[in-house]
Amino acid sequence: MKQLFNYLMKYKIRMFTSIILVSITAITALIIPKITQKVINDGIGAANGPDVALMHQLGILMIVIALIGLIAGVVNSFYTAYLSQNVGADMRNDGFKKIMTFAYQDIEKFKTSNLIVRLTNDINQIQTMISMMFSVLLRAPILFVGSFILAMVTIPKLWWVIVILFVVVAILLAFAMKTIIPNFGKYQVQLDRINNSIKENFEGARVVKSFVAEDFETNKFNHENNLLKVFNLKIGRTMATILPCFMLFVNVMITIVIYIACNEATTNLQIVGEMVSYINYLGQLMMALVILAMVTMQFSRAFVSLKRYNEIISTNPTIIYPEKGVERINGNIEFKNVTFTYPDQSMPSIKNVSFKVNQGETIGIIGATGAGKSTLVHLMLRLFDISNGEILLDGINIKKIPKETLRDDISIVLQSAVLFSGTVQENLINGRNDIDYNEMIKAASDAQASEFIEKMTNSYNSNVQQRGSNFSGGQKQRLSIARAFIGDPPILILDDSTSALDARSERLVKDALYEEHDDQTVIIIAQKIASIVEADKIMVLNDGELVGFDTHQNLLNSNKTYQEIFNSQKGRE
Amino acid sequence: MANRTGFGNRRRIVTGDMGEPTDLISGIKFIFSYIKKYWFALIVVVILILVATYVQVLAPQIMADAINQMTDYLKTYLMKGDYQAKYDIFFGSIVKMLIAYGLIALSSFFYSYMMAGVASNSSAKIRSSLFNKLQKLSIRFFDASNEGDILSRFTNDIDNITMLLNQAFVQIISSIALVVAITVQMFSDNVKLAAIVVLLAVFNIILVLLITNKAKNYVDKQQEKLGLLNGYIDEKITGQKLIITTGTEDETYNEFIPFNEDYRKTSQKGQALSNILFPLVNGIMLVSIGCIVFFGADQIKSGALSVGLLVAFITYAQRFFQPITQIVSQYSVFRLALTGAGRAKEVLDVKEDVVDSEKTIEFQPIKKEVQLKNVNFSYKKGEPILKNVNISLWKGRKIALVGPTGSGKTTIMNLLNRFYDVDSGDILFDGVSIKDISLTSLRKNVGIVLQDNILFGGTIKENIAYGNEDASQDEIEAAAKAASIHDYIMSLEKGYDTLVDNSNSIFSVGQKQLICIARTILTNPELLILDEATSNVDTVTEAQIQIAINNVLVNRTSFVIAHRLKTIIDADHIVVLKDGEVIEQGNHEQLLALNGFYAELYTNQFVPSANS
Repeated sequence: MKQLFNYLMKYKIRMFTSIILVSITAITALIIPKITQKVINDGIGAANGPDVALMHQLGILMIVIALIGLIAGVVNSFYTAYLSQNVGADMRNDGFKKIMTFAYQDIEKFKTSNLIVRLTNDINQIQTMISMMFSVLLRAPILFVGSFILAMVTIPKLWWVIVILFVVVAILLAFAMKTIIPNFGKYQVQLDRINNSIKENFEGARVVKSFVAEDFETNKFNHENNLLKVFNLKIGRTMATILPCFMLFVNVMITIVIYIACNEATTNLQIVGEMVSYINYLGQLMMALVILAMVTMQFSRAFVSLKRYNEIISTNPTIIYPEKGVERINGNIEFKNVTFTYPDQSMPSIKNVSFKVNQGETIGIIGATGAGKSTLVHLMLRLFDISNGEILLDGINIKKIPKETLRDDISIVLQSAVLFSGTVQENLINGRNDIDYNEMIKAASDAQASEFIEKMTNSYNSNVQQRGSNFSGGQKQRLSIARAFIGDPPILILDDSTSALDARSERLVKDALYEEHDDQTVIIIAQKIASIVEADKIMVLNDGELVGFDTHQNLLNSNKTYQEIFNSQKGRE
Repeated sequence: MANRTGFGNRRRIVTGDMGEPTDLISGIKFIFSYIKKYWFALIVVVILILVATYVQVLAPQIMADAINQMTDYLKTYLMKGDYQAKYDIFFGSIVKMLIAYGLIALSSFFYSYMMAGVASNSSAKIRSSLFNKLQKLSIRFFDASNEGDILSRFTNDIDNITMLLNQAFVQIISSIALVVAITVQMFSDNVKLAAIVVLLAVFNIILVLLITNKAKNYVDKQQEKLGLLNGYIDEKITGQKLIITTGTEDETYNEFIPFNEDYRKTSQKGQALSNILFPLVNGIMLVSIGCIVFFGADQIKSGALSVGLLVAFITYAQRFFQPITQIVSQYSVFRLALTGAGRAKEVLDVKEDVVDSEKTIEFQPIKKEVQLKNVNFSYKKGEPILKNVNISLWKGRKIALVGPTGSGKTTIMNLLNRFYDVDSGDILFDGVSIKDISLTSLRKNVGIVLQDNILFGGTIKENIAYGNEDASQDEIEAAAKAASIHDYIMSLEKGYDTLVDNSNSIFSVGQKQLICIARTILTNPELLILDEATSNVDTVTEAQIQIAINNVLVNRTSFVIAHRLKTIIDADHIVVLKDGEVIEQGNHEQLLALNGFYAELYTNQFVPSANS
């Protein structure tokens, strides 16, 4: 709530103007019926014939007040729209910005579909609430308090009617909130799941279809959808109960008042007139209550959303980088007794690994599936923080190196190539505006990507579909490699990223790598020994341990794991 | 130099144009088509609304009667008349009041309660038919559409329809009922007066129409922009690991700003125009009442208007205008729901391009061969991917497909599973065209291990048994063993019940591939297609898997796409594809002897380059 207030305070002047405008409209709404009543009672129904002069006066007064209300209301529509949409945009902005500071671990904790719902649907709920807050909600208390006070003043003796009304309304509202709020919480979580289900079916459309799992997926979805329906129903039915209860209750009170007034009137005739006004105020009170109930519903939902939004905002990224530090890394990497366990897992994935890589060296990494090859290189980028030991780049602890340096000077080609929708060029440049065109062309050609890019009608301006779905696996990999080549980073890591390349393309990519990037430290994870045989040294990983770190020939002579891998690949009999 | 306006060409979800705002009738028709199933409940709801409205119109009269009778009683009481009888009459009115209020509360409880059911059920139905439709759409749709925008339709747009059904529907119906009731009453009382009041209202309605006409464009645009914004958020957050490793968080954020701003600007306009309606209409109606009072006074003076009539006039106007403003205040909800209906309908109207033909037959076990015959294919007109391809897959044989990246290998797999239909030529299973085999039975018998591996949220067991929900634990374990992943799974604390999803780090990319292989082995397919299925798996494991697959799938036909030629050297037949054309084929020895493209590929792979 405080968070929301801070966002609103950014638009202080507009907010206060809006509050004033709403108050004006609410007050005019209170006055107009009074005037109408006066017109009928004192103007038209005056004892000695209709009082034309008074009616003229009242007519003009009415027009003026209605116009004031109209103008205030219309102007306020713009303010309300401004406030709600701007606060929403600001929150979305901050939320997105925050997510951009998240580390791998934080994203995995939240899950992507969940983050997406929070940034979109949840913020929409908050927007709707703000919009209501500055149009309807503020009117409700003014109406409520206004009629409350007026009713009290009219017949002070009936104070208890108001008190009972107040207590019962409070109880009913509390009861409603108690069912509605948890259900809205569940509703939003369920929306996450629905979103996740659809996302999975997008990413895995081919799997779903090839396993003929359409019915299975539909049933699964229907199950989630049904739960969503159930929560929705509970909310809807609670509302369906609460509103008529309010109305009935106020109406019964009105009847009781008439009955009591009747008995009172035998000794105090004046009460009849007062009673009519009193009933009027109760009627207005009821209107205010109805608005209140509607607002309560929207607010309950928005509060749930606000909480979910705050969870994003208040998450501290698990990895914090120093602001200042070295601006350039040369490419020396040292691991000292590094042990790493993934969050939520009990067994370490990297076990007491130590090694030293010098600038300009080319290192191959080989090992069984699940041995920790990718994990090891992820640690060099500080995608996760290690549990024990120390990682040094140029002798500096990795935790003391600013993020910009790490990202600019270490490029990694991920195992699964990711492309974003846009153009080929946008994907290669990837937001780095300082890159010159020729550099991009060179990188594309080194990565063997230019041959197919230039064949396309729009060449570098060709369209890339979401998930790069209009490119083949090998093409996606070559684009990813080109992206990493750009900018000549001191450390370049290829994480098994030529797996979908044919041997010839792979050969050419590697030739380019060796010829052009002499002083670069290059780390290549590969399955084929042929891919890394020319490396200066090869690391052999087995079950998270570094079991060998030497040249191809030495490993072949002495390393059992390496020999086993080699034997499985002997192809040239 | 980068093209910063790149998002201009980002695809909308469906290829059809959606610039036009949803028209009123088709939007209403769409929503109606989902609620009409509950016609009985709806009729009851409407009747109850009418009852409640009727009693509500009556209630003030009953109360006025009660007050009159009370005065009557008091007068008699003070004049010491027979007040007991008057008191009884008064008391009767009080009871009547209670009955009326009770009736209002009861009927509004019942209609709200029932309507909540109709609303929840029909919006759930819309959501599920949308999902159902997604399942029927072909891969072409998934490849070309904006996922985030579709997500937005499932959540935000359907939410808007729910809002309409949950709240606005009842209010609109009861307001209309009130307007009609009061109009009838007015006309039966005084035609001339009624006509004037109605004219005033008509003037207002015209004004409303003018504004809403402008507003609806913005509301439609607002939802469209929201879809695009969601699309951006979805894509970037899904690919955030790349963003982190390339350190482009700031750039991504900067690119996000225009999407957010775009949505802010349009939604602000749309909301302002929608919000304006209520105060405007309400204000104008109050001003007209003021005018009636002002000019009515003169009329009374000149005797053209009777006192009673003016009072009636004012009360009418007040009561008549109130429900109209009520309807107007629901405009935003109404419009958003219609826009939502339009956007949902757009997805439902997308043509399904890969469908079963009229007379399909079930897939029959392969007797002789699967044949690609003069196959031509392109994803985009004018950019052919496959050119007159002829390949035979003989029963029980292992056929390999090799060729440079982008030569069309994966495309052939896409065609064999009928993810796409061929442009010309045919794919024949023992002479039967692929289009004549029912899709379900085709895909059940053609097993495929994809290049991009996907795990679904759930347990490891569920992931392996995907598509084979009835598989026993033993069968699942046997498949996992064949794929050499059983031991790793058992090393996890919860074994096969470990929860996974596509993005968490329990499995490495290679291990994910193994799970996917296990998944396919379990289906025991007639034709097995492996598309780079072990590209991220180490070669020791790969060799083990190969033996296991050979054992499990004895006598099955297999089709293997691979870059590591080692894995396919033993294939019965090797097809070399380049630029969408078959350039060489034969077994390993024959191809080497040709000393052509294959021989070059082979040499490249095994001979260290000159640099070392």
